[in-house]
Amino acid sequence: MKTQQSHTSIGFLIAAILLILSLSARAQENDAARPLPPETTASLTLVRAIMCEGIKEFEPQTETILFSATLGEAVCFTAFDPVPEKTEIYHNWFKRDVPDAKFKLTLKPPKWASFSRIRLRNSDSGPWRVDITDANGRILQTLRFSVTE
Amino acid sequence: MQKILTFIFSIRWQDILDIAFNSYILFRLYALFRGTDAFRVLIGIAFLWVLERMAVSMGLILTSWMIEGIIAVAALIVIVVFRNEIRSVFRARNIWTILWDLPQKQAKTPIDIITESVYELAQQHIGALIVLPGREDLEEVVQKGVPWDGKISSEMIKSIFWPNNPVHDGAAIIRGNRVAEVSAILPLSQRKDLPSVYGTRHRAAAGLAEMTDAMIIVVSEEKGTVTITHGTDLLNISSERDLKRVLKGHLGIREDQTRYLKKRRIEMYTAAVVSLLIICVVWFSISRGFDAIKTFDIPIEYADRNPKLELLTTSATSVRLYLRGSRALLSSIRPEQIRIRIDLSQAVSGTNTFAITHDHLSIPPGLTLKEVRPMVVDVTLDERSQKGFPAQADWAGKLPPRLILVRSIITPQKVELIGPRTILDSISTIYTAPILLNDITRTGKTDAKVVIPSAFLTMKPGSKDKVAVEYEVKER
Repeated sequence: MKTQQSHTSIGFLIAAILLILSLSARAQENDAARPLPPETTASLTLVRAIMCEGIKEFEPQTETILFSATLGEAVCFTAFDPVPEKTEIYHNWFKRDVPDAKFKLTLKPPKWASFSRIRLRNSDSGPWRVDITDANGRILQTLRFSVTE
Repeated sequence: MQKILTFIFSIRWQDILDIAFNSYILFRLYALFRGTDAFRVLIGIAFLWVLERMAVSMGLILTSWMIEGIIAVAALIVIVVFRNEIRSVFRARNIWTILWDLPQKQAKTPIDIITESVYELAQQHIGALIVLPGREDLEEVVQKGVPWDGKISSEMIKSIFWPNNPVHDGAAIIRGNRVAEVSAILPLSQRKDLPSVYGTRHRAAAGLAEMTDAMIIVVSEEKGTVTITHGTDLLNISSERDLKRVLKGHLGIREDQTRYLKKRRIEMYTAAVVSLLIICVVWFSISRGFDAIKTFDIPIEYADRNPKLELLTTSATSVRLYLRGSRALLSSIRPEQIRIRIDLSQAVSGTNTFAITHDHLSIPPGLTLKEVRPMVVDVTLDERSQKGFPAQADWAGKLPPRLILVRSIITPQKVELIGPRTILDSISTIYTAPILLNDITRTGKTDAKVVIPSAFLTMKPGSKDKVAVEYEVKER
């Protein structure tokens, strides 16, 4: 009776080991079969960020870091390539370190350009900056410019 | 009875020390200056001061001002007029005598020998001029003679004035039982009323007597008479006995010395008690008459801050104190005599609250704190830290319309600042002082000063407060 119980235990142990080995082999197969994550092949990349006086036919016009208030507006242009998946970025406008405007811009694969603009008044004179951030708030680039009367 | 007990128990050890110290000073001034003309004038000034205080208390504004002016002028005059007397008091005695001893009696002047010698000289028609100084110093008045320092004897006096002696001209000055100087030149009197019979010797004696409290004995060579000059008096002395009496009076020599010493001791004890009473009255009137409350706005001193922490803000930079005390004392207190000191040695980063208590206050003795506002002060401290910030040009003015400012590069790119962490964290960019665009016609370079945005911040040691700005312009 005792010998029979011992044989049953050994058999159960061998079966358990075989089951574990079999599951481990499947897991390795799955890892090998999974495609590479997008980060390693193509992450969201900011390829161009400039301040300009306007946009014409999806192209920035007159790149500058100085805007006259009489000009009427300032434009922040950004281009991303690649855009792996639909995402959002932000253009955060600051006047002397004080937040002035925040624009949420949607980007779509495979590449995308987008811009934001603010209207200028005489009282806007002084140094400005635009922080371009991703959806997580990570600063991708900072553009600095001035507004004069 | 209760009030008296309260008063007695409210006296501090500092008050007792204060009274004792000032009483002793007053007593010493009396002991040193008693009997001098300067002392009599000082008494007069003290009397004037009492009158002035009475005039003030009665509201006699003009009178009090006038007396105040007289006191100021009189104090000046005392110093100028009695400078010799004051100097002789302090110079003739060592520091121990000034601070503790009663004025020591000088060695007894041998009056018998002097009078005997004087009359022998007179009989022989030998001119002589002998000076017996009083309390005043003669140095500024008498032209220094020949130092002698010989113990007085009849032979010595006679030999000094012996016509063939080289030092017989001039005066012999006697101090104690010694001839201190001989051949001293005395100032001549300018008086017009002196009898014509008086020659140069008498005029010299009169001159010194007018200017000092010395007594001078003159022996006339021609007439063989003896004259005494003291103050403005010239007295012919006909007998040795009279001369002795006059000299004893001048030198303060009494027949009954024991009685004199006893009398002087009583005088000193009385002076000590009177000094103590005067100071007690003055002290009580100044420090114990609780009849007024005055407010003082006193700046708070924050001390012993941990050097790693920066004092950022305080809820109050000064506090208003309501102090109680006598009107006289309160009116004499200047705000600089009051201090409020908060010890920040135990303070931590963040807001610290301190309740202002007596421990923080330093107020002159005799005053008590009635109220303090605000009662609580909040002090915010922050850790000192260092942080680098991107620098940005602050362009100003107008660029010529045909030009575009394409880019600018600032060197160094970062400006390192030191200061409270909270302030550093609230800043993102350091800007330059405005750079004028009007004169820019082509690409170039300029220097610009950086503007530190808070008084709590400083540049990192060794870093420059200027940055180089390279700019690029293009035609439109």
